[in-house]
Amino acid sequence: MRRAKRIVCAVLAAVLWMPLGGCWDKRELSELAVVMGIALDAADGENGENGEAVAVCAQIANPVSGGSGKESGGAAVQTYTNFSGSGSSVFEVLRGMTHKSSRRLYNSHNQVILFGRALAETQRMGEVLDFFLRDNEIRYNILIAVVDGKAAETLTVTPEYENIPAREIGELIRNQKANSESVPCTLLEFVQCGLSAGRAALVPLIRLAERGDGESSGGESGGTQSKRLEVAGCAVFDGGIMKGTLNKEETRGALWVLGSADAGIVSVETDGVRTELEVLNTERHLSVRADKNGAVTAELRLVITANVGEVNRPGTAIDRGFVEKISEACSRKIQEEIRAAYRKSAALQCDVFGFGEFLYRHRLKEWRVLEADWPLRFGELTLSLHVQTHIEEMGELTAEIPLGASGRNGEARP
Amino acid sequence: MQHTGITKNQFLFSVACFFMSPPLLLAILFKNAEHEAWLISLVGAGLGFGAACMVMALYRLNRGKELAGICQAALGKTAGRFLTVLYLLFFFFRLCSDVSQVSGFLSTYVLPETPIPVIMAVLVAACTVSAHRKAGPLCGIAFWIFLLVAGYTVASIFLLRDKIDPENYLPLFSLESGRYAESAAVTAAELFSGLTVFLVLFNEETGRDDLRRPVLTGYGLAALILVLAVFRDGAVFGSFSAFLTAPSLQSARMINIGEILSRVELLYVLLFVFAVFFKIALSVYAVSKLLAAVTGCDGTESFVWPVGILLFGASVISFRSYAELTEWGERYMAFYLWIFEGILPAVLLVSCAAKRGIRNLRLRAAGLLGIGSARALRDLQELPGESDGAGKPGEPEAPGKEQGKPAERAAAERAAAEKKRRRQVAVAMTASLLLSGGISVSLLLGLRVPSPFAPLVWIAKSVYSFFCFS
Repeated sequence: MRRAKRIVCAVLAAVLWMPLGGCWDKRELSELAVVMGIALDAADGENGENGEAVAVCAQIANPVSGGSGKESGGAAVQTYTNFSGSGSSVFEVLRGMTHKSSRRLYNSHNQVILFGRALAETQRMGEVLDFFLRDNEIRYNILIAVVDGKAAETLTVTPEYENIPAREIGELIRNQKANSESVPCTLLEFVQCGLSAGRAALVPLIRLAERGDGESSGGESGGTQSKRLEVAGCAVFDGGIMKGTLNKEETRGALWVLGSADAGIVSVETDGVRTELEVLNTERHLSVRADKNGAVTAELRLVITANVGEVNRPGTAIDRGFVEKISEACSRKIQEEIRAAYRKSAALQCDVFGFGEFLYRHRLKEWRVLEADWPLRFGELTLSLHVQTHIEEMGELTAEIPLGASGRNGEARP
Repeated sequence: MQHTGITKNQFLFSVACFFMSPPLLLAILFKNAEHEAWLISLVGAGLGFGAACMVMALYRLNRGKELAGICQAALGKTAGRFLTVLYLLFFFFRLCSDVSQVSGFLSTYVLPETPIPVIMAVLVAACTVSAHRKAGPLCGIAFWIFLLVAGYTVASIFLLRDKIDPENYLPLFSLESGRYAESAAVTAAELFSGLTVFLVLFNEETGRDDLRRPVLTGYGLAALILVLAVFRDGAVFGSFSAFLTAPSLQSARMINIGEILSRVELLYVLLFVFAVFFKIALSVYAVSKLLAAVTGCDGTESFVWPVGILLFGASVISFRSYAELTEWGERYMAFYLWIFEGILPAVLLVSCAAKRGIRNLRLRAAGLLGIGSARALRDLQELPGESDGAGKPGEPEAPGKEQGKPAERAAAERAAAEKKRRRQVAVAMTASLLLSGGISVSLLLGLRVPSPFAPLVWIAKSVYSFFCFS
């Protein structure tokens, strides 16, 4: 019996060492083409050539350059490679890139998915994004953005700080939280908006702008040197299709309502004095209700906490009266931004504020009545805004420094 | 009776680990209940607790007996044996389903290049080796597995706090009433059932104390962890969770600690494998023990390897694709789980209680009338729950009973019993090797072997269509 046991153990040990070694699933870094960004555009021509629907450009990091952008000898090395192709589906094109790349594309480190405007306006994103949602290499916290033009072009722009354009775009989008004039949107957030009851998704809108005089590229790794990237508000998606855009102010107006505008600069002007207020915190309370006739009222209470960041008239006394004035002006400005965003989204018939979703979640019976013609109802709702601004700090200065033509008390400076 | 020295606390955490292992099944819960999965999980946990209480009541009525003995005590010898065989098949098919599910998950998300049979072979071999060492060592590590899984669940909630939106739980009561009933039934069956396996294992405990409290506490801890996981995934994904095949894995992938540590799903997969390994290994041991009871053979460990080999063969041909497995999990598995984890334990409990009640009445009547006292006392000794572990068929008689026999005769009987046991084990080993080997060879030759689940699906489908279920 013991002998038989030993034999069985020996056989098992001999058989099992193979899978335990894990050789099947080994992936050497030198065998991977690490995708850093993907740009999706509508295929050229009417529905593309040979029925092609989508053009894909994948940006692959070049690990040989070691991320420095230079070889030891000093010669510049391209830190990335772009592969392009077009076909009837994203998966088909990406897999087809094996004809051009000696390595298999690896999507786990993808930073950003970019849509060209033409594609976003004509094709449902659910169809385009299915591959990204289904593939187990891709993470749902990957960023998405719309490019006002061809998305593939952004992947050739010389980056300012990073070595790879896709990485630079990712950082650029993440950085939008600082001013709340655009909003980072992940794949998960986009899908959640699409599945929600009537809520439109806001996706950052990127433009390619010409470099101004004196603007130079800090990048060393090739690419289009004459252009740079900039974020210009948001694209509005409803039902998976891009319906229009919001500019920076309108975007911030929408973000006030969504409770996502936690930072930013609000410029107000009181008695000829322009003051820049830095928003520190936002508290939001939203209530949406519908009466028996189907008239919808949205009531928003906002409490903004801000600091004085800049006062641009020398000699202005920052006293209690001034603080009250700028607080009121800030509240008015925020209300204007919200109303501007509402007018635009009502014109687009897209509920970017999530009022419909609020009704669905909190007043389901009322929502069931309004659901069918919500885009129209949304355009007719009554918006009741109550904005309060609290100014907390004046910065490092107790009073304005008189660094103008005349010094303190109107005396001429030496 | 063989005791392996499992303490009450080990039992507590073993039960907890056993129930914690199927976080993958959360996909079924979310698919049925969408954003209200948290509500359904609470209802399911309550229903499961009721089933657990029922199983424990059955255990208390039949203290010292194992599942085979309980079945015979409740339904008589023939029907009891038949039911034991059915339970044996049920446990085995559930094991196959678990092995297929885990292997499919690992193949899809972790080891995409590795062939599924290889993953199955390694998993089953590891579980069989552990089961061969009996339940004691396994239950000894249960606390650590529980601690890791519970710690991960709590930590993941903390790390995902900025992605958790409690508004995703709303609106309440937005689904059709039929869907609530269906979801609760499926959830209770698939997530919160399985305690009947422990009816085979309860006698492994050293003492004779009541196991009700540790078992129900273990169940409660597992239910708490599972409900927390449902709350976490529901709050992170909202209605999108209904579309995901593995919501818990996806929520682990959402964790990003300082843009540095973003591959936390590997930890999740590791813990999941630990928990599943525990469940499968314990189930393999339970199936072997039940097989020994059915065949009237002593020496449970001798059946562990045949069961393991057979399990591998059956798992390989069970489901041709992950989609087929998902369909089984979603539509048919709950049907069998309700029968074997809910209805049959209830029948056994009622039968045992009724038998006991009738005998008590008879005894009281006999006592009152003062007749038949000797027979009544004998009956009392044979009552379920009052005897001392006499219910296990095939168990050798206590040494005390042999005292009257001559030593040589006793030794000869023991030798004959050992010879019989070896023969039975050899038959089991040969049969399992032949079956699994045949299956493997057929697959290598490209032949299509019918799935053992096909008749089960047909039965469930027929019952559904008979009762006009959707």
